[in-house]
Amino acid sequence: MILKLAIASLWNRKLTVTLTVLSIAVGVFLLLGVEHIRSEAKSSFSKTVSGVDLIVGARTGPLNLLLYSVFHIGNASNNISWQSYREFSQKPEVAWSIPISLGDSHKGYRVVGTSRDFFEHFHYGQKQNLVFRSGRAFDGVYEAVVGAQVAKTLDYQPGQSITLAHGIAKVGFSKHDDKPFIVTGILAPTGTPVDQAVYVSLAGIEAIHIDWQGGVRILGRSIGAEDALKHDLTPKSITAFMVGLNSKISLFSLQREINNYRDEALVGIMPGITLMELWQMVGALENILQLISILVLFATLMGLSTMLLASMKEREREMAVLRAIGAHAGSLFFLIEIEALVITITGILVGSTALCIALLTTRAELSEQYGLFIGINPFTPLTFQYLLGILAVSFSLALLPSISAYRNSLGSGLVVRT
Amino acid sequence: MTDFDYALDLQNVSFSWHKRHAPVLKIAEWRVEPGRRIFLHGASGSGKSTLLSLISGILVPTSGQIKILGTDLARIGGMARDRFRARHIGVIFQQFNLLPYLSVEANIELAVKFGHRPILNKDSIAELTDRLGLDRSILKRKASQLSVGQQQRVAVARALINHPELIIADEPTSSLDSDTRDEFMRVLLESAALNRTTVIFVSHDKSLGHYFDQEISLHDLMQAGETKA
Repeated sequence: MILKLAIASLWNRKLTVTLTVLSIAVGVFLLLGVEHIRSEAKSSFSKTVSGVDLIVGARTGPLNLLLYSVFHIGNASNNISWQSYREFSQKPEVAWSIPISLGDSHKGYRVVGTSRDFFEHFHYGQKQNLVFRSGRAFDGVYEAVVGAQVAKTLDYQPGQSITLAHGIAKVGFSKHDDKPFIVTGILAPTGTPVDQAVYVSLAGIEAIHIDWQGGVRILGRSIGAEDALKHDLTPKSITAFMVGLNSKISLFSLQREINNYRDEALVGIMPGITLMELWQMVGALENILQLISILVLFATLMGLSTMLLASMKEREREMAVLRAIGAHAGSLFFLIEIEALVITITGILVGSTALCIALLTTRAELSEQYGLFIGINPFTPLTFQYLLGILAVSFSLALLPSISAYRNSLGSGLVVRT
Repeated sequence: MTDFDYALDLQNVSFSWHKRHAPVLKIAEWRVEPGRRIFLHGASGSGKSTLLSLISGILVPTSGQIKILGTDLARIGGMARDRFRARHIGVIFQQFNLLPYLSVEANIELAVKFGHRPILNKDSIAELTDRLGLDRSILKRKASQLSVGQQQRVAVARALINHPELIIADEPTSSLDSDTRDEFMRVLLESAALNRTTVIFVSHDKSLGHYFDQEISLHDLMQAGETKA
């Protein structure tokens, strides 16, 4: 009965109630959104690479190396020589290695020069293998494999002819259009940056740059696609390489060896440890974001309490009528509390729905622009704890107007004194 | 219902808003027999509303005893007082008797629910509105859409729905014009007579006195207390 009364009374004050509901919805949206993205970003990042013991690149910050080699964020400052790669990949403790050569793109997607070992040894998530949805790995120089998202967005099938662009700008001005590639395979979706990349052989990368120097085509020295095959297509340098070891015991000694390598300035990083360093850096920012969103929500709940308290004056008549027909002062207390909870629950529903819609619409953008793979379901057991907490805070803050209603109805008489 | 000699029995009642303040109301003795219709008049600010709050059990006297229908209101708990009011006392205010956001029917039903009576069928509400000269079509309308005269009659209907033994009316006609006022008085007193309901009617308008069995001035009621004490 009191619930029905509360809803009818709220409906009577649609405008202020709607505004309050919206402000709570914004607070809920912010809190759940920050919480969701921070946990999803973490899991998205940590599942991107699995089973790789070391990543080796030219000497730079470990984080930078991890970001450009695995997440395709940012650029390498320097390359490493093919000799160094050969030397380390042939060490007895190394089980497998995957060379990576970056710097070209296709319609905004990164092109990764690598070897067929990539498809065999690269793992993501819970040590999952890469799987071909259709076609096969590249074999020839002018063959390419595309990630699931690339194929989906550009509607590619095996047999499609593509041209690569020099550099990684979305609109490339210099194109390698004299040496088109044929798509031979499409990878199954992984939910990692692998989906957003085009894979070609190192020889392919070498071939398209054979008549280039310093980022521009050398005039009057163009070499056709067929002619290029006659040249030696062994790369002179690569961007980085990933290493898998036979035994973890040799991990630290090999890392030390790489870091102390005399012929070239190299750095070897353990992806897991570098990710942890990343979380430590991002952690402080995350906490601030979370704190802000909690404070915003608290402020909106204070606004709810203020709104109810301010309405008590104009509702004295309503309260007097209820008292006259036999409502207990306690019923008036619960009436106000229930109004607060109804507003809060509505706010939560509106905020969560808005969040789901927002996640659904920005998902593609987040994965393409930032390599973040965010699930669209923001509800976890933790979320429900948050929501219960919101209700508890709402109840506590609404105690003020509720107790005021209770006391007024006890302290004043039957008639409202104006 | 237990037997009682007086519908209303006040003994040495005094009330003050704060313990240290002088009492705003003092009545040595006031008794009203069941079924009587009492007209209580007094200037505004003379303590009429406080008296009605005490009789309806919303306020409790600072000292003294108030027995309504044989029940000493101060001796039962707050919850019991509220239930007692819902069942045995019908209250009509000057105006704004109804919750504006509920339909007329819902307003009346609310009183039934607070009275913890078995849910009345809708017919009895409709019959009551007929008897009060209201069109049945207004039952579905929102209280805020009614004229003041209609609202006051609905207030009577709500006050009567639980068949109370006592009706308390606080200036219920002050916002009505003379025609609707006479009609309102007729409807109220006829309905009350039907169940031999005691009526305590408060107004500053002495011209209404001829409708009642007895006219009392609150001033005299309090004076009597002064002389006795």
